[in-house]
Amino acid sequence: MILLQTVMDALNVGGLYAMMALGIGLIFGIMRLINFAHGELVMAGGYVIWLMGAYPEMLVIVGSLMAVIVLTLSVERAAFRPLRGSDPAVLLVASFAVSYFLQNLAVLFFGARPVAFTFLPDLARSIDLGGVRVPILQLFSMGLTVAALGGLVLMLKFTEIGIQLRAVAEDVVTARLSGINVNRVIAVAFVISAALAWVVSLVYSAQLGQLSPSMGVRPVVIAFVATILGGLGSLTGAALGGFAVGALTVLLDVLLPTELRVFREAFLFALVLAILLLRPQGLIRVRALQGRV
Amino acid sequence: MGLRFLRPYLLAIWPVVVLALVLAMVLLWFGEAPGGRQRIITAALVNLVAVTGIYIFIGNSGVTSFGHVGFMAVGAYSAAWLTIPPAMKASLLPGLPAWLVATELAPGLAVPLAGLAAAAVALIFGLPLMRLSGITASIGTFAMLSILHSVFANWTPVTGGQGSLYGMPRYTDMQVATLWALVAMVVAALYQASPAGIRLRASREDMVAARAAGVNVPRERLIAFVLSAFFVGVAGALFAYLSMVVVANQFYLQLTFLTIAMLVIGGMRSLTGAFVGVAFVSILAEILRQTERGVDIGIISFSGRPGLQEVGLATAMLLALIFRPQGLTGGREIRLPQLRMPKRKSRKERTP
Amino acid sequence: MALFRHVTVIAHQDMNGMAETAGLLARGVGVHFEGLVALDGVDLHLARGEILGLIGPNGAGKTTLVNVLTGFQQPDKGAVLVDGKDCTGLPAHSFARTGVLRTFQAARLFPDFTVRENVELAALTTGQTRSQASALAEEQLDLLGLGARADVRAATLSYGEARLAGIARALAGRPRYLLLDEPAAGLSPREATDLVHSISAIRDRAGCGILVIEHNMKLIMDVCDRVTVLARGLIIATDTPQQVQKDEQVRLSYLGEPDTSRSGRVRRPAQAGSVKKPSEVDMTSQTGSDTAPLLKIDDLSVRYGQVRALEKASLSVPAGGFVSVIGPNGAGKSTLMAAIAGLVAAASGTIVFDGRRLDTGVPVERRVAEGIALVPEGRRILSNLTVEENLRVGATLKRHTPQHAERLESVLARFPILRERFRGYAGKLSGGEQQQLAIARALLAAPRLILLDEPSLGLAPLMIDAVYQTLDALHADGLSILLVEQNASRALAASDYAYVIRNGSVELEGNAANLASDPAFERAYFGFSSHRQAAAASVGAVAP
Repeated sequence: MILLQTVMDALNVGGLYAMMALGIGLIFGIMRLINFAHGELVMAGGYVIWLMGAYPEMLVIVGSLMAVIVLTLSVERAAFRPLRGSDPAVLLVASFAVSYFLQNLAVLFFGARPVAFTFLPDLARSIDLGGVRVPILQLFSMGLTVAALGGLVLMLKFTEIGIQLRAVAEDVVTARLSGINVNRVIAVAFVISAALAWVVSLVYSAQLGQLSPSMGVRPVVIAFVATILGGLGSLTGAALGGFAVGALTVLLDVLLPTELRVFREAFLFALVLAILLLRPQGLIRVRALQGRV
Repeated sequence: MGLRFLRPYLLAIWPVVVLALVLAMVLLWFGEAPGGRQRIITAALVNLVAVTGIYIFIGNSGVTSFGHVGFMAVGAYSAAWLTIPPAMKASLLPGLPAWLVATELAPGLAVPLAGLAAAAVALIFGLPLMRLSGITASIGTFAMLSILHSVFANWTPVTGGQGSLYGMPRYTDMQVATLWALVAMVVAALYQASPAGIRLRASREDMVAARAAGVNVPRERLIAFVLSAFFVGVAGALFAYLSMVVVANQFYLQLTFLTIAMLVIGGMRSLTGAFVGVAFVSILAEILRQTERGVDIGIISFSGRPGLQEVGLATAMLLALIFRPQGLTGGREIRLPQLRMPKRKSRKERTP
Repeated sequence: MALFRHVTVIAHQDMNGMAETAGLLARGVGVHFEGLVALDGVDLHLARGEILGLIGPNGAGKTTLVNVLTGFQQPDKGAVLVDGKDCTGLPAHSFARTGVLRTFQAARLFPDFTVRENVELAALTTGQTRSQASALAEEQLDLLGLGARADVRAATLSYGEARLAGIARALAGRPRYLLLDEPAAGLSPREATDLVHSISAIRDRAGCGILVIEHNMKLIMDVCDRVTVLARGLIIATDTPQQVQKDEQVRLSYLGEPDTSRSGRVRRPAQAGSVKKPSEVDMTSQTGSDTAPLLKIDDLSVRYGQVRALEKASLSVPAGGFVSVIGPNGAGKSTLMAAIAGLVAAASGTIVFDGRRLDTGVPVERRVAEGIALVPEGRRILSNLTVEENLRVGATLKRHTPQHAERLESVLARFPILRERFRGYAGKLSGGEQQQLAIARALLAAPRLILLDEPSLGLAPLMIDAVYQTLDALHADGLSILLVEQNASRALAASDYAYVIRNGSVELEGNAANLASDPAFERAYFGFSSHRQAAAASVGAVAP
């Protein structure tokens, strides 16, 4: 019983992290940019939903999704496009700056104190599945994750835009010389990434029950870890990495003696270090970061 | 022969001489200023020590390290452990080993020891980390920061955990901070002119060619890493003696961003850049802070809001990255005024 | 050193016999990457004072072998010994300190250091003091003729100067063994001749063993005492240069037959007086008629910051024409291609395609839509995608036209290997096959003008034959072709009209057949003016 509960928890958390990791991994694959500001998209989604609280639910869903997409595209246009082709370290620092900017913009507008989040309160209810209490929210988020993941894979492998995405991810010049509109492809990647962030913001805000300007920091750092685990540049790796980290987080909670439980983060990052040192390409093989003499 | 040997070092010190003069002027100007003003200047000077330390590594190796603030934490906590009265330590930090509880040193001695502690931590982490390259190295340093933060924020019996650690004397004033800033800059200048510094810089320019020419890249990086950690640790200690309180959460993402921003805006590749970056950002922050409190310019009144300072800083950083990625100094140092020196003739020209 | 010209015993036998302690030795070296065997039990022996050539087709494993010999690659089996000391598995910097130093094809200087500082660095790592390093650097720079440029930033050097600086840097490390990686790549034949003298002089002066990796057979013939041939991860011959050239196996796998280097096409006979300097050209000289050319470029200039990559270049391609632009590396050929395709913006001048001006505002995608397709240098294909997906990408703009299916079929008929490997990953194709894929991909965009940037680069002579035959066929079908090449002889043999470009400007132009035999051209490009020598050089001078 407890085991089943643990598994459900792990899958739930894992699914969330998988989607975050996918959002980051998609952009990294296209632009070699690790988008630290992805967490702020999650935060923004939550705040927009909160702002639109009085409106009918469908409108809120559509409106907040649009808002997150617009925000993403604006950030891409203003901050990332001018830096295209720069050193990955410069891009990392830039995304850090964007994250800091957006967080404090939220502080400016909404204040630093948390506000309550009460959208779709029905999601917080639980139903009984064979003796195990399962919050609808968990089923909801798992369902969404599977749909998102599956849809992404199908799109990348079989659709025109998916192939173009993969082409741009590998070699921008060749893609351009074949007539591919690279700006459009990058925009599509950001839109997909934004949509993934929006799903996370819905689920995460509901789970937390509250919003704060810095709420996006922890998910993005964890997602970061997941991407490293799975191998930078591999989408499958990002998703699997997300699940792995979710599982690990829950596992560490269960396995670690009480005194050490607080150091969960330290263990997680020690693991990251170990992977970077021993198997930098992640647990899944990918060619993205090979250097050459 | 002796002079020939010294020449590159003398050349390297020149920017520091100029900057020292600037610092001297600052000291004189603000020597009589009210306490609050002095505190701000001192804080900026402590930042200068930290950023110079960070520069020693990032500027010479080309590896962007996100972890150095972790060394500040090590320095700050070491400073705390070495100077808080034993009675307080015994009750606040039951987890500390007995010899540490009993120790109470003068802050002047504790500061360099704190630096050494940070250097030791750097050595431990650095041995594996310096083998990584490019972005994986940066990610590795971030992981180090997170580990250190997690330990300091949660090991309550030893560090006070999430709470604040009190009990340190007010030791850091403008003079002390200036002194350490000068020491840091001189060491930075001498290091980058030394063969070790040159070898490391070569690896920054082209790692493959450097290895092929005989540069032991991990070892050179480790040297810079440890040296830089020393000064960053010193900065942490100075910081602790300035604010007289140590809180684990101070030494995480916010401060990392601030220090990196200073270096990027000033120019990552030169010592002058570190100085200019600290100066620029400190002044900018101060202006924005005034705005936060509300400022009257004639009949127009700006009332500030919390968060504005940070937004302004982030904007400045982004603008710098987009329009002047090499920073305000363009990565150059202050040069000696050009003296007309007779051109050395090549051998072909010399022999008839 | 005449001594070495008589050595025909393969190194392997030496090792079984006496205890050979001197020399840079690779013994049974094997390297494999993810299932691909790069080196399969390779033995190599470089003695002090010897100049050894290492030749072989691309993909043979030469780079891997050099990486093993310098510590950049750890072998999976076998050993590397330096003067008797087992250095297998040591890092690259240890090799340098033991006296094994190398240069790179791309020079790889430290851009922000001065030339002097670059050279001094190698001395500072190999245990010399500051003043020793300084003196040594001065000496090397003078000997290689770089004294005047010693104190400028390395990033500002020309291609040839950078190459020399790289050698000076390696020499400052006081090498016992010096490995030169394609030192003649991109040099004009005259500069290559100078290089031959320099390499011999280095050997005589420093007494080190020198390993020269090259495709330039003339250089190999002139400077090496022995030559070892690597193909598909195995040594297939080690002998004097003359013997190796005659070796049957070597011919088959790398050099090709000299007579098949000519394309099968009937060449237009030479016309009187049609080799001109640009100032003498009038617009109708090429086609002899007054139909507007398909592509016309006037006074095109391109700058990269301070560097003038292209300076007032003018050329034209008639509809259905086959035009080549030849010149050494760094002359501006790739820049020209990039400007036409839209990848770089022109500082001044005009590009007119089919009557339409292509200004900076016209993006790459639009030019492709108009009918210009570029096959870039280095045959950039998408290795993580399948062959099918690569072709699909190429057809992005024309997939939904009715002719697409037909076009795809004709492309697959032209390159049967692509049909064979249709669902396989493009990264697994060989160099020649990838070049075919790159061309196929360009063809699927239904271009009217195809631009090719160094199609023979890095390909073995046999493969180059195949590529040029394809181009001939395409030309016969009416496609207009503009190609740039270092490989002058091939380009001249295949095209109708040619331009010679040097340092960003067009120096000569004229009918290809005439240019090939014009003394002005030979002097400028080959460095000597005997027609016979030029013909001999064209067989061997397969510049990478």
